[in-house]
Amino acid sequence: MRKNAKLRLGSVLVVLMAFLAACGGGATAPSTPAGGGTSAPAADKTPIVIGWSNSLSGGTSDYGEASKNATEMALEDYKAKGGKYADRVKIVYYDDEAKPDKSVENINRLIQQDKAVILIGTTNSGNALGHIQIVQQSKIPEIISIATNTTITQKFAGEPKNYIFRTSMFDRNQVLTFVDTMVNNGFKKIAILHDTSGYGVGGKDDVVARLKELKITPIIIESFQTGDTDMTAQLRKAKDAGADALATYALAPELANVVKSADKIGWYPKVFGSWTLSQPLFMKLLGKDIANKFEIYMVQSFTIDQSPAAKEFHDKLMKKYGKDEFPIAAAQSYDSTMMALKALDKVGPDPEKLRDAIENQDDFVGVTSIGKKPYSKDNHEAIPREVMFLATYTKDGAIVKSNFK
Amino acid sequence: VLLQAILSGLAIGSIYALIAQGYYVTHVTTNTLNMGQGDFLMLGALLGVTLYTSGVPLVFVIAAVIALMLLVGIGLEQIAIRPLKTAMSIGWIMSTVAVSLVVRNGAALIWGRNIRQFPPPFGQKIIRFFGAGIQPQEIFVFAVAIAAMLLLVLFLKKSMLGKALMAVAFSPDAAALMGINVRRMYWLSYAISTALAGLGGVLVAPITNTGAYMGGLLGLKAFAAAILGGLGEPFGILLGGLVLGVTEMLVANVNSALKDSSAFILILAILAIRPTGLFGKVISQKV
Repeated sequence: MRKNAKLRLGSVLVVLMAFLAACGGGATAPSTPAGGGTSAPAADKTPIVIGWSNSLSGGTSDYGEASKNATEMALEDYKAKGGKYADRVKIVYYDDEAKPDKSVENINRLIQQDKAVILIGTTNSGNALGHIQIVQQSKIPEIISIATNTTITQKFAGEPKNYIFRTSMFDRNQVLTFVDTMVNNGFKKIAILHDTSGYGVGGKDDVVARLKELKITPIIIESFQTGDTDMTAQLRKAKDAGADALATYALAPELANVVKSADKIGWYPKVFGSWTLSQPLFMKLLGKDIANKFEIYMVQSFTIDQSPAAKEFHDKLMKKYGKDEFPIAAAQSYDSTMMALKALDKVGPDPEKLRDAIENQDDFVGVTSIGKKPYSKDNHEAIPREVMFLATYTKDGAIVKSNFK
Repeated sequence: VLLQAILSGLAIGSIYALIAQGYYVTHVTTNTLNMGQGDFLMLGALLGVTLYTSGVPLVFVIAAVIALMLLVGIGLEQIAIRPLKTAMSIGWIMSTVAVSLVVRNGAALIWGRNIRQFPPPFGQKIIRFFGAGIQPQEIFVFAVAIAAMLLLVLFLKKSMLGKALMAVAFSPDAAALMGINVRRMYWLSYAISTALAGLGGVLVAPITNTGAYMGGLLGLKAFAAAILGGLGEPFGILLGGLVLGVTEMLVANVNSALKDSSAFILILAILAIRPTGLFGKVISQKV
């Protein structure tokens, strides 16, 4: 009897779950035809949706949080300045949990259900690579404000219209920046340490390729996995091989463990790497005591003291949120949102016209180093090599321009 | 180089062994295992981080976590083991996994999905030992884990309660006839098991990334350690854990990409040669 009752309970649960799944599936299907193509009469009060999908949780949540704050602030500034669609623009935020499948789900939802006319987003390159196919096919422009994988903007470069733009520093240029600086400053015995994620492997390949162009062979290449805590074995090998500098490509938690492990074996090489070394989580996990024993250099394209606009932006964020832990991620997201809103004022809520407006704009003024005419048909990267530089930490953990040239 | 690997391996291996003792306790008394030990370790670690960062001294943190985890263990036994004992013979595998998933996602809701830093209670000064570096925390982990295991074995073999547990393990019916409350022994064994996982969590938190998803791999490796040493042998499990930890680090010295898989390859090899584990008694079954 008891067994029967349990079985019955089980089958009820299964049916219930099937029902819930069906509901969830149905909800994502479009209930009204896509309204992207309609132009906006002045009396129209239907909201214009800007879609935002980024990581508010997961290992990259500090990027996502900085981005969300800055995006919110951009919309407020737009409204305060009396933008043309001030009473209709709405930004819909979704957390992608730093997971590619969740990111795809969010983007589908933003396009089909929320009818977003433009998208801003994504920290994780894997997430971006996972969903840009949908974005391109739906003919909705997306401005990537944080992800850096080189192929993201190039995947559809061959098509008549590429809908993917970027305001962050893409990997290839980051690699050129720090590898060239290393070599120009006399570091020739380079050990490469990378994680086995898409980000780390892609970056490592770029580093090796650039070193090859400079006729240098890295003396050792070692890897570790996401979640590893002890990298002493890899570092010991690099030390024994006689390395004088470390080129890293990984995310903040593991980078902190790399530096901790180097401290553990009593080896203090100069540490170089991409902008993930500037992620606030890196310093939080590492602690200043250990960090101050090392010289750590990472690629940046924005510091809060680079221009009056940047300074003003930082002060405003500080005033509104009481913190600006990740200025570069915030600034890039602010500029992305402003770029989207500016295009909207010019051509209205039509995704295809928005795309053309962004590609052809020649009057952009932002808080980052993005130029007046950032894009062209063949170039969807807003941050050129020239404005990237190596930065380092002060003893207090602030990020400043380094003395390297 | 080798010394560094061995020292690091011993520290992490002692954690594997400590968690694995949790498998042992429930295995010998109830013939079931808590498949979600890793997630209870995570729970202990996150409780520890929360308490410690709010200023509670380390000793009390450890005591509080152990006490809380004892209660959690009793709850686990009531929810996931007892109702299923009669219904399905291996239902406990599913039910303990289910509970651990609830614990994991619950923790993700409460503490978020992000990694937290447990501030090292003994500072970050590295102790040099013949050229190899070791953190004070790692020595502490090793010492406490070994001490906890010795206490556990003493408790099981010498105390009245421990003997009662072992009696239940030997034959529940006979034990019940001798006036031992078998049900109470069942939940006691689960309470001990989760408490060990919780203690492991607090110990390991400062030397690892603490977060809601930390438990999976640690739990699995501890299980491997238990199998390696032989599920019924507390000292075998201790050695199994240490061997596993050191092996991993030595393999990482050769090829770091093989580190995690080496543990499981080792298990496969050992099980092929000695199915009852390195130190398990070889039982010749009459057919």
